Amino acid sequence: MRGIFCQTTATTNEEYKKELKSKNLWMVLLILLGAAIAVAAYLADAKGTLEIPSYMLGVYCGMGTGIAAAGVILLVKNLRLLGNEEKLKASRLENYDERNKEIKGKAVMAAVKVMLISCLVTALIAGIYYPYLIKVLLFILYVFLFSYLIAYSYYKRKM
Amino acid sequence: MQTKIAEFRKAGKVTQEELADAVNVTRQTIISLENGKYKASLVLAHKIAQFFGVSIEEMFVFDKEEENL
Repeated sequence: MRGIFCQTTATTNEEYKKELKSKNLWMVLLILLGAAIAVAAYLADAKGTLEIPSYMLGVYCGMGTGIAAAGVILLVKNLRLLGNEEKLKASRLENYDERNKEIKGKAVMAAVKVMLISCLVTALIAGIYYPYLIKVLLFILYVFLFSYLIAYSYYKRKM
Repeated sequence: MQTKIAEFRKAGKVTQEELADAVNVTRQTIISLENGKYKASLVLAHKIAQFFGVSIEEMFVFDKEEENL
């Protein structure tokens, strides 16, 4: 996931610090989002206001807690980097380095191919038993293709 | 593509770490460039050549057959 979310264009520690500080705001939003999901699921479960299986409420609760925990971990990591010039530089080089960017790009491409094939195969096989599943997975594939086309035309004009 | 980074580096008594710092990459990238496992971008090639005060052609040797030139 670092290949998707952690790339940087900062060539100096000062620029990288600014980037990390703005990322920290997103981390706070991530924590709030995760906490909101977890609290909403917990309250719905406690009050029994929603007709959702308790298993799914547990999933929502766990998902919210997981998102909030990830936000806290990343926030703490960023704050520690901001307080240590050497580690900050190492992190900047790690995320700025062109070879690392190429490796991450290739890894993302490979993962996308595997995900697309898995979605298609799952939709075709599991769709026999759960017809609704084929609609969901095909919807995800259409979203992917549509967003790819938009991104492609954007970068084609930009480059 | 072959590079003469290691030769220039040793002649100038520059460590991989120092070169990496100067051109804003990791030491592993310098190692991969020296081993021929990774091809530098034009910007990085320019930075490395500039660091040693030589031209890109002097630093990087293009294999015409491999590069289809």
